Amino acid sequence: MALDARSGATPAGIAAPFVTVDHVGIARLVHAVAGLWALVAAALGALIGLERLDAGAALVDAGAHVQLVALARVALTFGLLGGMLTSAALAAVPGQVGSAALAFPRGASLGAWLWVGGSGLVAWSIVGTGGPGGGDAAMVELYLMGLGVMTLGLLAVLVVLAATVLAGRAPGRALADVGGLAWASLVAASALVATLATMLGSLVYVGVDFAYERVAFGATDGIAGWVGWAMSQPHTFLFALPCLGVLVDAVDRATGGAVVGRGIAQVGIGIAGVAMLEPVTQSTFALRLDGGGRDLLAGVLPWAIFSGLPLLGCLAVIGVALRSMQAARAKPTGAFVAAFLAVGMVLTGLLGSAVQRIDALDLAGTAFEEGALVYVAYGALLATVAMRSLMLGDDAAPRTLRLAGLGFLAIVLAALPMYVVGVLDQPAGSLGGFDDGGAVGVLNLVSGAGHALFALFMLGVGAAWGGRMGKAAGA
Amino acid sequence: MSVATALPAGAPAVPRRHLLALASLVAGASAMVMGSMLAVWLQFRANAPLRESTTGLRMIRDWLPADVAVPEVVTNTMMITFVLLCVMVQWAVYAGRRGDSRHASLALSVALLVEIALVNAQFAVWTQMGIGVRDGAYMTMFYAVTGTMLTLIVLGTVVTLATLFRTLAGRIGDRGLLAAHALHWYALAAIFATMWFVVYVQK
Repeated sequence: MALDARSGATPAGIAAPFVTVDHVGIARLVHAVAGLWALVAAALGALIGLERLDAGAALVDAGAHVQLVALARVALTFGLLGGMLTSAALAAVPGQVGSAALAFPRGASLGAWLWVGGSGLVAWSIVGTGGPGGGDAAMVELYLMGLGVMTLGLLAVLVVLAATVLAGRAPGRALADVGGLAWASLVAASALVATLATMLGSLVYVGVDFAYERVAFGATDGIAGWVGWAMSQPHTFLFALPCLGVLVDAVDRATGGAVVGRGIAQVGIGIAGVAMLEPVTQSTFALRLDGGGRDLLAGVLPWAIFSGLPLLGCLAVIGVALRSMQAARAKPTGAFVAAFLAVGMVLTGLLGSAVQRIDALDLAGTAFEEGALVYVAYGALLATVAMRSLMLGDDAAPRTLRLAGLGFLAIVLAALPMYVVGVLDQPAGSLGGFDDGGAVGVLNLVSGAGHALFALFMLGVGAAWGGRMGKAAGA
Repeated sequence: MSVATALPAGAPAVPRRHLLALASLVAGASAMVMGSMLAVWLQFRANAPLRESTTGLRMIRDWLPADVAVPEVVTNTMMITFVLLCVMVQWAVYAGRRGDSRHASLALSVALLVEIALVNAQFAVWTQMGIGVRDGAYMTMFYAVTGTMLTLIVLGTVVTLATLFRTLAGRIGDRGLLAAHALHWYALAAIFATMWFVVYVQK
């Protein structure tokens, strides 16, 4: 049985998904597991919203609240975000660079399986009261190991993706000529290789400390403090960065290849990658407006670079997209609408992250951050709808437009109320014990309904395209 | 009689450098892992309380416990060994360029031995220091940092073994592999030099 990716032969039988080196086969595996994570995140989001309706009553055992929140966060970040756009990139990037296969298909397969295995370990450990703040020491160790395995898997896949774009291009095809998703994947992969490796270093410290001394890194309570940044903004934005490339591809298709200012879009995507700078420092840079002169500059400059530049990059890509559509007098296709809404959602999350860092607004530690996370994670999933419709030639089909509309509604319902309750001082990650007076309880319920609607949207996407994942690139 | 060609010549084939790209990315990731660990190490050291130095002449950070000594002969030997290793991997590249499989294999074999010596030296450092991983924050972090470095060295040794295997099998024409192997070890040497300076020299 030939397993050479370049031979075109695909293994058959029960062993097929384990030994396949076909990039679409690997993408399908990652996509399926990421879909499961998305459903878990949506179900947990709905449950959390319902639980927060009455902060005094407990629908779920109060002792499990920490695990519930931890699982939802992992599901949204390393599960949904880590898997969805990676799978889209795995499927589309070789075609966009003019190659029949990934540069190191076995490396990608190994990475995908590590990520899948790590996913299982993380889910199992959290259910068994492990994870941040977990009570079972063995399960906490399993959680740390699972997270490490997931991270290693993602690193392997991202390294392969970046190597494919850098060295796997067809002869004569310059880096500037690759498709939007391929370019954005290169930028995102390069940034994530740096940030995930940084996280791995912290994870080694936390793991060794937890297994032996449990003093220096704060035992279970210290996990969120040392590696929690990897599951929050702006780090999550790096996972969602390929959305910008999907938008460029959607515009490319809608305008018949007449993208005005493709170079500007590529530079914009590159600038958006600056979002990696804050995660690699493992610190948060707030906007402080107190003092004057050098103090003011010292407060404003880091915020402007770490939070402002990624926003600028997004706006540049949106500007190019709108200008191109206008110049070509192109009719917005379903794929364009889905990609545009996806980038809009991610941008709203990023904007929320930037606003949250303004000291004077006192939003740090509130549920506002949860709203930003939902915007980014669910928004990224909307982009995969656009990508899949492009790859399957369904970009102009009415159902793509309908699904995009449903997804958009679900995301706004799930995320926007969290922004509002954050402003009303609802603490982050808390399912009870806060003031649920006024509209707070109802807003939490609305958010839960939004998550439930998103689960329906996911099922709709599954029903529309099933396991199909085309080989053609979007561009 | 000259024959007219129907089509102009296509663009010249661009040599693909998959392995070099891969080695660069892996080197970057390895550097970030160690860089992040050393950053946290430096932060812990900067936050340690002050104590008098053994000479009693100045105040120093109470980070490396007073009764623990770093075996500098071994650690410095490791650093020098890395320099030797870099020479060996470059020798392999040089031999590969000339299609000299005997010298390439010899260079890689010496490199492999040197790498095993590095692993041995790391165990010697741990044995001579005689500290337990549970003894305190310094000890926990010391084992985490040096253990991670050892893991990177062992992974590099596996790469050397694979390269040597291919060279012995007659794939001397695979110069990309030899160059990527050399790049990987240069990066590891730079990473080790940084760790050596922060953990073993500055203490």
